[in-house]
Amino acid sequence: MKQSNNSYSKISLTGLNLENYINVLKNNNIELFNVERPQYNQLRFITKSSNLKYINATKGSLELNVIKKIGYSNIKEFTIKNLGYIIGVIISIIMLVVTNAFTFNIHILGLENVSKDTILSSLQDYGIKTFKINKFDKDDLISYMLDNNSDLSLVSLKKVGTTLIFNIKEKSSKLPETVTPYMAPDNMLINDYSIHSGISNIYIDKVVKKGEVLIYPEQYLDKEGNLQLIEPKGTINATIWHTATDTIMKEDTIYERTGNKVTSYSYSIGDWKILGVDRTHEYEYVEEVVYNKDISNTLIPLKYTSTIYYETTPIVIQNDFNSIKDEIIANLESVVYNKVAIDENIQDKVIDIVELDDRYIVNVYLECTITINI
Amino acid sequence: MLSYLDELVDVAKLPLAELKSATTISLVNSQILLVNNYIKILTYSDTYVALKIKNNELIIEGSNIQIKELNKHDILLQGYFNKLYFAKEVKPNEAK
Repeated sequence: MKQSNNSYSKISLTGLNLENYINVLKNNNIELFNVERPQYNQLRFITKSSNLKYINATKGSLELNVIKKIGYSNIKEFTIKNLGYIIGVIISIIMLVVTNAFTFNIHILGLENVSKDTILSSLQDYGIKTFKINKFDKDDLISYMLDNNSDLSLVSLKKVGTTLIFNIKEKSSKLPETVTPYMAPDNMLINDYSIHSGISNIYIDKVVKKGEVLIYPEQYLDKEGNLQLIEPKGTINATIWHTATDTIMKEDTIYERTGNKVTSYSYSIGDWKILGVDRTHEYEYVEEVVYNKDISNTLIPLKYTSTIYYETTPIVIQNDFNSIKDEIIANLESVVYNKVAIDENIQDKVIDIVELDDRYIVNVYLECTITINI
Repeated sequence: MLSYLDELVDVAKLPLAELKSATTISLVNSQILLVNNYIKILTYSDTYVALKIKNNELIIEGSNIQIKELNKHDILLQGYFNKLYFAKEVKPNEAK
């Protein structure tokens, strides 16, 4: 005795002699479900909606009330009542799907030397146009762009709504091969040198700066009268100094938060602020923390920005230099030793501490020699 | 193999047609009661149900009694049944 998938109605009958009426219904092959008797003169049950007509015709003095409709008839009534809205929703969804398939805009980013028209004409040759439904395979399009534009090294494609966004990276231009003078790799003192080819720009005990020319290439005119350069060659022995410095203040001021704060926030579309609260503060010392979040970037660039101003109070701390001196020197030594290249030889180490009125300056020098074979 | 009704025919010594139209009462766990081939409902409330059956009346007492399903011949009741009894005393001569 299971309910089928027909539509049903929950009915309430009010009156007397309800048992008799149940018997009348059952004798006329009308099935009842979930029969309840909340009061002596009230009966509630569920029956097929098609039986409503008979019940209405035979109820006599009983009062009939349809409490609810269950099943397809409910859906049918709802659909008929709201037909306009339903048609509107369906049309809107269809329009959204159809227009989304269109391409209304093409953005090309990352162009420097290649013109936008070149890329657009390349896309048109492939069949991609604006104000049209473009069906294409992404990987196929990317490889077509790379094959037909030799100046491009990378192409990436993204479809956001009705906009196609191309991100392009161009190939870097090749530098012509040329002979250049040899320049000092670091600040150094020339100890000794031997030039095999080229014109020397150094002498013993000369102090050169990083990037200064040490040897110029030799020049000559060939048979056609063109100026030719010969690559500079030689050996240079020099002294290099590596330094590491740290300054330790005798007094430090740190700013500690007091717990008071003032918050301002805003919502903006691009640079246009649409909503927000600006609060001012009167703190003498303040720490500002800015928090930015991109809420949406697809169609509308919606951004949230909040700035929190924390009130701070300055606290002066006395630094005991003697207790931290060894640690500072050890740190500086590790820094300066890291600067020494593999082909350098350490000759000497100097630790220098200078005391001023308000601070100590600690210097660690390493004197190294290097032999450069050009 | 004998079917259920065939077994009943054999035990009750009654013809099959009469057996098929006889009133049967099935009770499951004192909470579900199925009565086949009842004639009509005499009284119905959530604590007391009286059904007219062939040659007698079936009285059901309990609490939260609800008619789950009802058609021309069968009625399915659900609730907490405390007492099931017949209104009239059945004597051996009358039962036949």
